[in-house]
Amino acid sequence: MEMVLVGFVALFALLFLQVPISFGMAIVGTFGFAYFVGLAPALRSIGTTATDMVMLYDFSVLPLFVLMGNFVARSGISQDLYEASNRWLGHRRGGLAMATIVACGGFSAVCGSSLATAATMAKVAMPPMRRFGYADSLAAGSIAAGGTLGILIPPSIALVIYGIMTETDIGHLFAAGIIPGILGIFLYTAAVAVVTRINPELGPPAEPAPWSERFRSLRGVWGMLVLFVIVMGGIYVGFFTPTEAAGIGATGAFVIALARKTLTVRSTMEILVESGRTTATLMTLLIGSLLFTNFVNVSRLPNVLADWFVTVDIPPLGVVVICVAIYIVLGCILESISMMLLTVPVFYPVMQTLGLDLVWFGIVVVVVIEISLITPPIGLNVFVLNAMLPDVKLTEIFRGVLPFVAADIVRVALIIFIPALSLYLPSFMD
Amino acid sequence: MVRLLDQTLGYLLAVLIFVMMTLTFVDVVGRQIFNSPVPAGFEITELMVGYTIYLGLPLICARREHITIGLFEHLFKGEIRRIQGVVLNVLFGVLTLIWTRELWIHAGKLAQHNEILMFLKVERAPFIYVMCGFTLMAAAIFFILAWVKLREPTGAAQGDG
Repeated sequence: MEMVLVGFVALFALLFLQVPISFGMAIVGTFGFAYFVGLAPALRSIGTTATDMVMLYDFSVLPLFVLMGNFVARSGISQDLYEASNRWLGHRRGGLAMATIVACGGFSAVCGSSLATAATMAKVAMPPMRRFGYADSLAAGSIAAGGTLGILIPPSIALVIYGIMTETDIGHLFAAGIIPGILGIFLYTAAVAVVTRINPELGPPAEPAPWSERFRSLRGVWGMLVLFVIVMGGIYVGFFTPTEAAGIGATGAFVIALARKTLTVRSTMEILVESGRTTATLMTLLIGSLLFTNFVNVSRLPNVLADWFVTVDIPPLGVVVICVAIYIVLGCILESISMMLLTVPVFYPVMQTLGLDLVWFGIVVVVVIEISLITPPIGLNVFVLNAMLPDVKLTEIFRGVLPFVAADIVRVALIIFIPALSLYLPSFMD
Repeated sequence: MVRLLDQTLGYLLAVLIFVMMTLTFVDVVGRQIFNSPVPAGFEITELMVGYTIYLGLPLICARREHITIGLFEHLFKGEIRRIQGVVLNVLFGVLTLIWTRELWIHAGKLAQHNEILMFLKVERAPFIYVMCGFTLMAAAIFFILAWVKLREPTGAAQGDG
């Protein structure tokens, strides 16, 4: 047990010294494992972990969903999504910020990455909000927060990685993410409504669009809607496995981008290489995490923790709340996916021992790490916004995301205490 | 030379990802509609997943795209940052060499047991030996980065560790 503590301290020391998280976890994982089983077997585990354990058919889901998101981001569909949301919501107080949230939610349904969602929507949504006199804090805050929806609404890269690590069905995880994702859109728009009710100057209403124009605006988004229905519907009814759906989704997104004439040979190459590099980065993180998991498992830390929780008589939901608190603290120093890769190997066996549902826990984890994307000091989405809108101060954006953080806290509480929000849809799957 | 290598690996990676997408699509359509999946499609995809990692590795090392904690980056400035850059790149180089060695040993074992891919009917070991080449390339990149950091004039160190 002491060895595990030493391992965690060593890991954080390495991370502090700017050692990449993948290398940090691999170093500590290998030496920690060596402490228990000897150096030679620990070193040999590198060879098998970095080949046999990652060269799996199901893992192709990762590059293919990354590719799908990148094609969608390049297809220019974000503009049409925003236009459509704007026509329907823009006339309300704070309507353009609400439209941003809904467009982000829609974009997330075909793109699995929060950063890509935030970066893409920033280009589309910020200029009109400024034109209509929206406060920078609300405008940038709604984009940064709206972007976080990408991490949960399926297809979600974070849920794919969680599924791989815990051997939980990715299709069930995707289905479980839908209602909490929609709840996120609802609570974020409610946050905009509350904020603009308190201070109407933050988001003045635009002119209402005629109904004919509203319906016409939906024409631009039908392709994306069809793609989402095919990918998610196919998984839900059991027609495709998530891996097959990822192949269909990536090809569909490629065809949509081609049809919208937004691809050149050069841009296609860039998208393919970028998707490959993102996959390699995520997979090296995964290899590091698997080596670290060897150490965590052989040390029996999860068993010791689970036994301890039972001994001190903390109810299972109390344990989940403790985990959430740990995630919120860790979110101040670690990037979201890394945080998941580091902690899930410890937490998920504990949840299993306590008889909690791993699909539900996955949704809780992803929603909590979502919060870390917009909270100081390293809210990545906020930094993306700051890089793209250099004239908006970082503090202004952080102030703008505060109402959305409050909405997220409400959402986490609802998801924890009403598991049906996550488990209702998967319950109809085989 | 470095640019050529970067471009070549990039093109290979792009082709690999595109083929993976097309293969999965054709495989699904073949299986669901014509009841005839791509022969050995499963194994080819597994190999492509592996090669995405190993082809991408030198590229992400060269671009320093490994995820680090940026929160403490500002604490390392000037000469300390330069020394840190040298030490860390040497450390990563050595670690990647160990990774290469372990892959080589693993490939040797596969060769010794004459392990073959079930549908493709070819040996597994050569695929792993080729991967050693890419990790070796990544190790070389780390040592080059360390050398570049070492040669950097004192006080001009601004780059990433």
